[in-house]
Amino acid sequence: MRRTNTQGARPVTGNQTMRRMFGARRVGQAGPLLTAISYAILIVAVLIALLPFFYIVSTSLKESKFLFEYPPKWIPSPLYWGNYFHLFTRVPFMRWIFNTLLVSISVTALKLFFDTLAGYAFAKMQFPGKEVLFVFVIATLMIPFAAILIPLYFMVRGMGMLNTYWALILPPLANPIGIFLMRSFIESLPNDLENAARLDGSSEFTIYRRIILPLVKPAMVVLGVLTFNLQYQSFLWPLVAISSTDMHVMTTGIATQRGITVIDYGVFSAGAVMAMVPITIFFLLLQRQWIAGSLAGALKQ
Amino acid sequence: MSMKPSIPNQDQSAQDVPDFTIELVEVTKRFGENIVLHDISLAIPSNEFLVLLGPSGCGKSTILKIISGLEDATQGEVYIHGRLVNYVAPKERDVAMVFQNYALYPHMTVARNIGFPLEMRHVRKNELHEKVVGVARLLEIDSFLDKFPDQLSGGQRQRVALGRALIRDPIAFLLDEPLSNLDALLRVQMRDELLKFHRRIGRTILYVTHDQVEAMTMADRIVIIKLGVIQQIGKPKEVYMRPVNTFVATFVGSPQMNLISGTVSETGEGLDFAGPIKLSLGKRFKLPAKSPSVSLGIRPEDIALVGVAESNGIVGKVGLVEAVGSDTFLDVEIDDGVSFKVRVPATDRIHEGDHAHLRIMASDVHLFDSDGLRIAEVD
Repeated sequence: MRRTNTQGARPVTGNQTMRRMFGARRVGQAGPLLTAISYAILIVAVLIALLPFFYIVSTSLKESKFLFEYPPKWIPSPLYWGNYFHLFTRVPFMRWIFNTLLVSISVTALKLFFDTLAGYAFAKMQFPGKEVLFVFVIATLMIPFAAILIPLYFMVRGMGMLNTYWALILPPLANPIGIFLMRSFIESLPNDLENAARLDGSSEFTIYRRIILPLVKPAMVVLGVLTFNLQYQSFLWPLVAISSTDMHVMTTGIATQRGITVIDYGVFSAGAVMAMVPITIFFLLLQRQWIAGSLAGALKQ
Repeated sequence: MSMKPSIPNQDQSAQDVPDFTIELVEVTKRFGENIVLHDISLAIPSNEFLVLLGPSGCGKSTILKIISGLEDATQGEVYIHGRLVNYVAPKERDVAMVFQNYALYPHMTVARNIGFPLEMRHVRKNELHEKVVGVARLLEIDSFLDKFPDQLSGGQRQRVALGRALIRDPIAFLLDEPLSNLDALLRVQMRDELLKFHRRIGRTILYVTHDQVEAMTMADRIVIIKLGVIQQIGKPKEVYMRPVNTFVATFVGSPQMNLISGTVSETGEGLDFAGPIKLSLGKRFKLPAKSPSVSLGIRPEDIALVGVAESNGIVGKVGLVEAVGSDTFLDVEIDDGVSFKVRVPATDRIHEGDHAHLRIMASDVHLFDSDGLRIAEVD
C-alpha cells in the first residue's frame, strides 16, 4: 500500500480502510501466542541439534566402564579426563591436528589460487579448444571417487608419495567444482572492467589480481569454506594413502584407536570433541565473510 | 601536444592534411563469416570532436575497440599520431576510453579509480595523489574522492570515468555512448559539460552514439555508419541538408524525413514528380539516367500548412497530433496509407480529422534515385 497524497483523496481513504481492517500491526509482526509457539518449536529444534554434541562431550568425560550404565548419566561425576590424557600422551594427537590443518589450509589456498586462475581463463580468455577443454574438466565430476581410488593409489605409490603430505594435498586439487564455480562467477563480471584495466596499463595477471580477485571474493569465501570443510573431514583417501602413525590426519588417526576386540568410545569421543575445536575457531574467524559470501547472489551487478 | 607526428610517406591519404591524431586505412573486421566493418577509412585531425553515428549493431563501437587495441582489425591499418599501431598493445597506444557503463572498478574508491592508470605506470605516491586531486577538481568531483562508485549518481560516475581517462593525458579520448545511461535532463547537461571539457582540454574526441540529437549538437563532423559501412562523413549541417542517401536522410533528423516514392519525367520546365502527390521540381535536378523511379524526401519542417489558395494542391486529413511543447507534429494522410509528418508551430490550432492544405517548395525537397542515392542538384 504505497500510496501518497499526490494521487488524490480516494486512495488515501482506501489506505485508511485497509489499516483499520488489519490493525496498525506491521508486516511480519505476530501476536504473542504465535510468538510463543514459534519460539517453542525453535527451542525443540535447537535441543535436537545440540543433543548429539552434548552426548559426545559427556561420553568423552566418562571412563569406559561407565559408558553403558543404566540409566545413563548425562553429566558424569566425577569428570574423567583420562580419555583426553590418552589422546595427548599415548598417541601423537597434536601432530594429527597439525597434519589436518596443514593439509586443509594448503589444499584450500592452492585450490583458491588455481581455480580462480582457471575460472578467469575459461570465463574471459579466448583460446582454441576452450569449450572442449571445459567440458572435459567438468566431465570429471561424473566419475565417483570410489572408481578412481585404486588407480589413484597406484599412481601416488608409483610417484613415491605415499605417506607424504603431497599424497594428501595434490589429489584433491583436481576437483573441478571450484573451476566451475569461479568460471560462472567471473563470467558475470562485465567485460568492460577488464578492457578498462587493459587500457589503463594492466597486464593480464594484474587484471586477475587487482580487478578480478577482489570482485570474486564472495565466491572465494564460499569455495574456501566448502573446500576446507571437505578436506577437514576427509577420511577415505587419507586412510588409503597414509599408514605411518605420524602422518595421519585427525580422522584416520582417531580411527586407529579402534582396538581389535574393543572400541573405546570414550577416546573416540574425546577425539571428536578436540576435532571440533579448530574448525569452530575457523568458522568464528570467517563468520562475517561467510555470511557475505552466501548472500553474494543477491548482490547488484 | 608538442610532438609533431611523422606521417609515413607511403600513405597517400595522409599527405593532404598533415596532422591526424587517428587514421584508419581500409579497416575491415570479420567475426568468422560475419563482416562487422567494411573498408573503413577515416582520418581524424587533432582536436576534432568526431561523432560516429549509427543504429545499434552497426559496428561503431567496434571501431573504438580497434583504435584502442581491444580488438584487432582483420585487415587494414590503424595509425595513431602517425604511428602504425596494429601490433601495439592497448596500453601503449596513448588513447583513453570511456565505456558505456563507465566500467569503474567497484571495489576501489573514486580516488583509486582515477589514479589506477598512473598506479599501473608506477607513478610515485605523492605525485599520483596530486594529479588525482587536480583532475578531480577540474571535473568537480573532489568531494567524492573517498566514496565508492555505487555511492555515486550516474552523472558523478560519468565524471569519474572521464577523470580516469583524463589523468593519463592521452592524445585522444574514445567515448562509447557515454550519455546513454543517464536520464534525459542529465544527458542534456552532461552534453554541455562534455563540450566545455573538449574546449578546455583541446584533445581529439571520438564519440560513439546512436542518438542523432547528440551527434548534431556536439560534433565537429559526423560519420554515419550502417552495417559496418560508412555512409557519409560531414559537418552536422551538411549531413542534415545534403544526405547522400535515403538511410542518412531518414536517420538524421527527428521526426524523420518524409519519403514517398514515385516517378519523374522531363517536361519543358524541368522535372515533374508524380506519385501520391504531384510536384513540379523545376530545373533543380537532372533526370536520373538509370530509372525514372525515385524517392522524394521532404523534412517535416519544410512542409507548410497554408490556405487553399497558397497550397500546391496537396490536401490531406490530419491524423495524430503530437504537441511536444515548442512545436506540434501532425500526421497528415494525403493518400491511402501515405502520410506526411508535418511540423507546425505550437500556436497553430489543429485537431484530428481536420482537412489540411499543404505547401511544399520545390527548393526544399531531396531526391533519391532507385538505389536510394541522392540525385545531385544542378548548380
